[in-house]
Amino acid sequence: MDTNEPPSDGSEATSESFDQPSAPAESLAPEPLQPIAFDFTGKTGEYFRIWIVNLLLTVVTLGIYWPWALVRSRRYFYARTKLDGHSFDYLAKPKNLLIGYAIAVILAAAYFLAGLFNPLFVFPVIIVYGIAAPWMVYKALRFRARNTMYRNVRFKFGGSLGDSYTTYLVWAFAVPFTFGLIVPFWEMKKKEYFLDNLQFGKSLFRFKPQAGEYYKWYLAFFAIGIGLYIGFIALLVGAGGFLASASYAVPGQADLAFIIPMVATYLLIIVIMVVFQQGLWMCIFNYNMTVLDMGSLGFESRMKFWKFIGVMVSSVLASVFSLGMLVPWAKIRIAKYKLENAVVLAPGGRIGSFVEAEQDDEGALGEAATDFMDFEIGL
Amino acid sequence: MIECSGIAYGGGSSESFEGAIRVDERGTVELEIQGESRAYPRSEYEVEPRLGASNRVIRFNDGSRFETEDLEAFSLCEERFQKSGLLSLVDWMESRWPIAIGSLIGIVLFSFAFLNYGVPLIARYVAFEVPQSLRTALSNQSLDTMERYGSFEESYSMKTHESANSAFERGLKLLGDNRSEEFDYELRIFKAPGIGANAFALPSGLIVATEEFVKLCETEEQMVAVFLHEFAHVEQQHGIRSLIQDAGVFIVVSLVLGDLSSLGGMAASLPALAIESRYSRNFETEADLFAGRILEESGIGAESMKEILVLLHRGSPDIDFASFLATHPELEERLRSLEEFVETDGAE
Repeated sequence: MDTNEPPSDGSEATSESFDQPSAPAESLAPEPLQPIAFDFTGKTGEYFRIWIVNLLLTVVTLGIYWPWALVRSRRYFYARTKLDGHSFDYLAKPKNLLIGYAIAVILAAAYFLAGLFNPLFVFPVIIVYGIAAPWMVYKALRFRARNTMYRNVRFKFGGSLGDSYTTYLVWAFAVPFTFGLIVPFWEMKKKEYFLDNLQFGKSLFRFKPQAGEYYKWYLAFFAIGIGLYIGFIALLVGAGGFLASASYAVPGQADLAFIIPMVATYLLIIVIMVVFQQGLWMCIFNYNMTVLDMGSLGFESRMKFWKFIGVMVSSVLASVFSLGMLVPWAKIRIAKYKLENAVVLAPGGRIGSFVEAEQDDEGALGEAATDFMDFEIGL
Repeated sequence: MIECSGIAYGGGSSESFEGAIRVDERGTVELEIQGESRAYPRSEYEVEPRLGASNRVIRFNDGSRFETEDLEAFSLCEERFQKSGLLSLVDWMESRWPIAIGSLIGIVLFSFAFLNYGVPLIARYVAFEVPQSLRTALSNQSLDTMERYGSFEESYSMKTHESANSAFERGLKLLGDNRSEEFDYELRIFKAPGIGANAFALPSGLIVATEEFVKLCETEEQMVAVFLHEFAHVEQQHGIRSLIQDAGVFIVVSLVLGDLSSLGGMAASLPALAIESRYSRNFETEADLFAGRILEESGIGAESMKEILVLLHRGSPDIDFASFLATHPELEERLRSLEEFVETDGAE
């Protein structure tokens, strides 16, 4: 299954093209950096129709339409994202995704069938998946990058397969031996593998994070998590006692004593998950943007913690209560908040010009498999 | 000549210029950048299908690109491009609100029909095609797992074995013509204080009863009634059918609610569980009626089925609000459907 190309293929190509000027060369004194904001023009109604037709066709074809749905949905978000008046483009061909999708389905089916016979039989499947995962991530990152276009120039992922194995397999093994203490560092390594190997045309991104910052945020959220957990348990015990006594007072209302805490618990778990996962993601993301640059360009994310949490919690709750009908509204809203708080810092407010790099055509297996298994590798 | 203006990019660079395209009757596109123009026949460019009101894009084979926000002018050009068939139909659907509402209704109706008729039909067809050797392997594996992880221990009580075996043989005799040759019926008795009084059937024909269950039965007829219920599960292959049905539910629910789950975590698990429980309740009723019919025909009477249901029910009360998640119908409902069955059967 492995490709024949040497793992170092990507990095060789990048070393030649290191000093591509991305700002006008004649300016001697560096101009001051000025922010250029991203603009997201997605419309809820328009996306709702795309989304619902996607869903109909996916369900009616029992999933075969899924790659077409994915490409249409993603292309919509890309085309509606503008920077400096130009929009992004997603170039992937659904037919390419279909093969990877089929393989991912077979892997999932193998897992299901193995578990059916004996819960122990899933371990070989997990091991196969664990060994294949770094390769799939590598493929996925390459595929995603080369199919993302801005101003007629494609992105390129130049990371090596070997580094993917170090990042996704070797460090993963270290987790249990360090009692999980390595997790923040590992997360940083994953981001580094992606961002530090990313190119826009021939221009290289540079990503130099400090592990200390990751540990700071993980520690803070760990403390918040424990606090929320204790509060949650206390609330549950208190509410349970109250409702139990109330149900004795009102005969025949015993059912409510079960339903209310159940629904409340469900909602509370959702809120806590959002605060914890998304909040942590946002803090790390904001930090990552400060240590990312490409040539003379810098980046910045100006998301505010409580505002972002508000957007996320309300979006998730609305989606759940509407039985999914508000998912398109939520996705548009979240994308708008994230993108409109992101800026590119450019000398004199000019992004400059870029040159396309040569790339090999990439199979879509990784992209499909990682997407199908809901395995987040994005920024 | 039809014309449309927009932004043009030369090959391999981010530099953009004001540009225009002109399309002739044969679909040849002339791209004009900074006064210079080049013609591309149909085979040398690719038109990105329309997607909502987002910008329109043509990619040329030499790496050039044309983009425009002038959707009206572009749609006139579009008539001369090669039709992208299926995707233009998709776009036609996406741009109409009535179709969107129709899609919503379509998703609900399709999911309902597929889960109600399609999945059970497929499961029924597949389950009877499974070779007996596979059923045996599957059954032995499940029993092994239970023995290893549950508080399960082979029963050594001679008395229990004698009374249970006698009821089992009687049940098999009563099964008569309803028994198919395929299945290898066998009774195993376990001591299982953790489970209590219970009996269940595995797909191969292996019937497992707990010692507690044998002790609970007041008459042999009650025990026969339960064994007949379990035989029904085997003859109808309810076990394998539920495995296949649950897989079907998983697929449909993840397709419909996948997006929601990615936002809300476990949002899809509750509906899936509710549908699976409904399937399970249907099978239980089916097995009750199968046993009831044979008991009535043999003259023992469905009464013993009702008695044992009441006995088994003690100590595990139904929780009203959770009935949609229960794997077995509520006691009252089971008794009622047995009564209804006896009445209609007697009237014939």
